[in-house]
Amino acid sequence: MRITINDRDRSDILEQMDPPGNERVMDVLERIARELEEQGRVVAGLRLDGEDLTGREREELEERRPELLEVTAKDPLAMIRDSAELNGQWIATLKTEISTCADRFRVGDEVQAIESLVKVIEGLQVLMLSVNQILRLGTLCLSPEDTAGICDFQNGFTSLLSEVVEAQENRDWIMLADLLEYELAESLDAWASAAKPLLPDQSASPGRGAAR
Amino acid sequence: MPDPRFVIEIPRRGSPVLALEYGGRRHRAHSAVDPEREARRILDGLDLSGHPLLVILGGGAGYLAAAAAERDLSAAVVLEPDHRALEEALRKMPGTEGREDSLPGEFPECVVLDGEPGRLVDCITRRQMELGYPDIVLAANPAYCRAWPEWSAGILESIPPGRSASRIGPAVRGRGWRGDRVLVLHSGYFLLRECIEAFREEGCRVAVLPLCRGGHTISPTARWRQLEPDRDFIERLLERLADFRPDLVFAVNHIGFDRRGRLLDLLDSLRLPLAVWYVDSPGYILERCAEAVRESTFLFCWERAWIEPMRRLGFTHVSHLPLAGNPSFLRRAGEPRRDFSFVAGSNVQACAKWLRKLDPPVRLEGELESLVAEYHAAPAGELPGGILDRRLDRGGPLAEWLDGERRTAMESYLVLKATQLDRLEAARRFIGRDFQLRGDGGWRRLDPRLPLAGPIDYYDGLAGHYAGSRVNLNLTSRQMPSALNQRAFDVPLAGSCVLNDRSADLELLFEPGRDCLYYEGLEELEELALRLSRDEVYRRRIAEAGRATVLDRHLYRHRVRALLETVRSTLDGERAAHAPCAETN
Repeated sequence: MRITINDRDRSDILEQMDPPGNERVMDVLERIARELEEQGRVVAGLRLDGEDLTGREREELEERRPELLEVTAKDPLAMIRDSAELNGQWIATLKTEISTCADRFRVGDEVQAIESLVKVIEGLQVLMLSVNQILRLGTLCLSPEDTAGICDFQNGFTSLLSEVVEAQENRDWIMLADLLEYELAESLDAWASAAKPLLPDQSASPGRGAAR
Repeated sequence: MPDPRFVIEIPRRGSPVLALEYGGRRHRAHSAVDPEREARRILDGLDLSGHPLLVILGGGAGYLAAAAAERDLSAAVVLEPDHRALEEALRKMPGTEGREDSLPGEFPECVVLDGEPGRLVDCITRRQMELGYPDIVLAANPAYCRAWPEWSAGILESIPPGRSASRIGPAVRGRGWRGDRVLVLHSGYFLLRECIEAFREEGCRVAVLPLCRGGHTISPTARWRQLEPDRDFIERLLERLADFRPDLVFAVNHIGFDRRGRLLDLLDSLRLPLAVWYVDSPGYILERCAEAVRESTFLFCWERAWIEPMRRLGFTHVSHLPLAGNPSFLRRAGEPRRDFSFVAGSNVQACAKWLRKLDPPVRLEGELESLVAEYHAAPAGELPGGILDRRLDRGGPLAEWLDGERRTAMESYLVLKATQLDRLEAARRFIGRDFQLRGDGGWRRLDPRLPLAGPIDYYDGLAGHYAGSRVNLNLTSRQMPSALNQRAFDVPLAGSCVLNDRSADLELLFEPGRDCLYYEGLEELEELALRLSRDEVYRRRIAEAGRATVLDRHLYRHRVRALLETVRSTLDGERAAHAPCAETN
């Protein structure tokens, strides 16, 4: 098996495995992660024989016997910042869909409205995955104060989503539209202030492991 | 499940909200946070171009109707299953006091209807018709659809959500005025056949819509309030409007127009001009009824005396349009079979009918006779109104008895009776000469000595009868103080000579002494008639000149041309007046 980290050949890692020459993918990845952590970096991407398997479950990787293992390593703070920016863009798209969805509920266009609601829910799931990842990475490089806003942002959805589900089950479309258009949209707007301490242009921007 | 009821909900966030509660469920009827914005957004999502009729299924607290008032709509209709229950609920709604102006009842072009779906759909259809068939745009409140699914479905199956295009409105309105498609409402009146031909001769496409499919049973002078065409006439008219797409509707004497004015409203809202040619007294037909007045109506009066009264009644476009010659009367001059002819009705039955209608008390019979005598002695160009006014000013039993309804009947009776006496005196002058009187049997009751040869059909025999008479006597009805009757035009076309009584229009439309002759008084009638019967050269010269004048200027196609030109120039003028002005520095 050949191994690269950020396109640099690191097949030598196999020789450091216990026992030497152990080519089990998960063992190799754990070895790489430890080395990167010592350098203050994390695994940001993984490709096996050219196939992008970033974020896949452990079970999926265990049985693989690739000839080429490519790892992308990144600074976790840079990853948090990228995610925070992407989330801002994603929220803007999501709010457009929320507005469309609310309008459809208000005019009683149920079929289109529910189709749109599914898109909104899926979009929120993607957002929450990203928020979880930010929090996970934050444990490596941020203080709890820095991530407090993100935690509040995450918690804000829990009670709201249960109201959305209740209104949807009750088929009170106008109440559902109000929840989506005003409460959910406002909660999403809170992302900007929650992510503010993470973004690079802030004067109080945290340094790598500044609070650790 | 119990019936849904309106409740006021105090939400966790926002203002009190109207909701519908049923079976343990509650559905909001409008946004609790920003209902005005919600209403605007709903309207923004609808295609409201071209002034549609907005139908709001479930008006709730009235936010949508209030927002609709700001839009360019023909009108809005709010449908409610139970408006009273809604009003009761809204009275309990905190904050409604400050928003009363925006409630549906305050929006003048918005009506709130409640009841069963079938009735509501009928009302909407009628409203659409009144407005000239705009498209319908329906906005359904989802809470109402959930709470009253059957009621909502009953409406939505006839009027689906969103825009429903009207077939008729754009078809008619979209064309604009070209003046080449005329829809004639056919009542069977004698003039219409000639008018239809004349429109065609003028290059128009003509569609004819009979008022009654079973035959034309409406009297030409049926009163405005008595006209009742077939029940499906409006439906047939709508079909014709959509298929034929006329730019003018033509009728005579307003025959076929319903008393509620639905047909007039329809044409008016479609901005489809209506030309009505009055060839009988419009005062009697309309009974001074302002309900008939519409902006899109062009009135043409055969008698100039009616122009000012019709303007006073409210008609904007009133013009003079004399009768004309029927080209089917055109004959080569042949050898006459008699010296004198007089074709006229005796008015015996008509006078009796009006007298029965008047039913004067015995004490007034003497005064009625003197009134008839006074009017008969008055100059032929005078209408009975002036004489009646003078009598009534004197007071007394007649003035007390003659109320508004009787006055109309009295005027009609005086006109008919005086005309009858005029004709009788004229006809008696020719007893014992080579003379034939054609008319109804009433003449025998008036004077058995008259040489009556029975009635003659206008379309079958009258032209030949005119041609076979050296001199055709003519005596205009008293209801026409200045106008000419049909005979003044038809006799010259038949190649014969007509001896008219004097009238203003004769001097306007002909050149007396060259292409026509008139008499003043019975002595002159007899004198001129005798001269014409003896002087063939003189008679032929007058007849030929008269025919040339009619052919040149006084056929139906000349009248139709004038009518079309009047409508065209008026509409052009209106368009120019409404056109945006060019900016000038």
